Amino acid sequence: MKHKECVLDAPAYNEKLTGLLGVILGFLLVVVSYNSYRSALSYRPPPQQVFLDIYNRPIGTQSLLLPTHHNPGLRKTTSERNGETATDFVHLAIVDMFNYNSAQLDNGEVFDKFQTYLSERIAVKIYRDIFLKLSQQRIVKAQEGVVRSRVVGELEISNPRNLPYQTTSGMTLEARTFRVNGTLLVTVHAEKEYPTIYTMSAIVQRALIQDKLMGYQIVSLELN
Amino acid sequence: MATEKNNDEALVKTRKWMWFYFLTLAATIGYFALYIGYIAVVFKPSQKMILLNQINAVYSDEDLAKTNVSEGEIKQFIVDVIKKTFTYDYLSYVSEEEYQTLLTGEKEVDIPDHRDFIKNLYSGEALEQMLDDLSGAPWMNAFYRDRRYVQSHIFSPPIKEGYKGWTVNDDGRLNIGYTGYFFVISKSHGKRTFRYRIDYHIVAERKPNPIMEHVETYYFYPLVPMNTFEWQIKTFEWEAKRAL
Repeated sequence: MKHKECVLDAPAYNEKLTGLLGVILGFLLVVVSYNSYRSALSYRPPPQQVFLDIYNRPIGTQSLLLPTHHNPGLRKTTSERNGETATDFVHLAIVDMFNYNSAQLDNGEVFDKFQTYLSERIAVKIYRDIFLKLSQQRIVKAQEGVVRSRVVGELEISNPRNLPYQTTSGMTLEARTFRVNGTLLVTVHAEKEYPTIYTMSAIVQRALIQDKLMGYQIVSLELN
Repeated sequence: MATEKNNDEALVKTRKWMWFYFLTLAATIGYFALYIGYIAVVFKPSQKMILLNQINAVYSDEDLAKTNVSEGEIKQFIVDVIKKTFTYDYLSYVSEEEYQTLLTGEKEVDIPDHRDFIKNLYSGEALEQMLDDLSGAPWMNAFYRDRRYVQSHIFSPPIKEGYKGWTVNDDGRLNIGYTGYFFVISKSHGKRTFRYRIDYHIVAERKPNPIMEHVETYYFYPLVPMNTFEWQIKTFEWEAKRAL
């Protein structure tokens, strides 16, 4: 027992123990610092995505509460209330969707337009459950008709509201949303002409460029 | 004596370990200090300059003797042009007289005519020639009376003329030529279907980027997409033959 206490009290033993602990601590520090050095070398900052419009102009920070002006031909929004860009987008979407012939209806071109302009939540549903069941499609298919459309008068746009962004990507954002009302004349040209007047009501919302290239999407569409 | 000797030897060994410990500690702390000093004082992130042109667009090389796109993209562009040019119906490609009524505003429509849809894909002369050729195409006989529509079907890719293909024209623009064939089918409800084989020779040329301009039109302007591709059709010669 006495011999053990002597050993523990010996300065050489304490120094050796301290040195051993120091070596272990130093080794750990070297490992940690080497790891941090390796991770620092391999660090690559995430690429800063810059979206360019068709004229190579940077689109800038995307805010779904602001209008987007990267689409050529669409009017610029002059105030938050007016929303000319959203109105023009609805005009473009509606006229383009109701401009097809029987071959384009069969080969999926019309469905592609629906996916371009409508939110992915409703595109398939409206196309399959409503659009394909319109009576005009029977004429188009039976008589190989051509459908042309025209917006009658001006489209009216409501005051904007900030509503949840309609997307399946899981993002929780708020987006500037408008209701656009108007009158649509759809004519089926076949053996005879079959014009139909629809009262249109669409809800259009700002969208991320990653989701919709034009920066807008229709989240609700009613034709009566 | 033996104990003292052992103690001395142990002390020497211990000092070696302590020196090693202090050296590793100093190296580690010194590395952190140098690293932080370098980051805080010396390091400056590299800046990438972006040059903007007169319409606030990112400047790109506009040397018309060079191109930034691959040959495959040009070939795809040509296929798209053929498909768009030779796909229309009796309503989307109206007669010349009716087209004049559209231009003068006597008749109001929202949807552009086929001529307007394809105009951005061609040079001015090429478009004029193409419209002349289309009006004289064999499937245009009784086209409006039979309410016909035509569709292009491309089964063979465009073939490059020579091994190299690229040539710089006298006007300093890069040119490339392709030959090939495709089929056009003319259909009408309750009428005969006609098939034509088109043998063509196309020369595409490099063009400058379009400048944004709003043109007053008889149709809803955004419906016609602009040709933002670096190339356009310079000449499009074709010959149609009936095919079974």
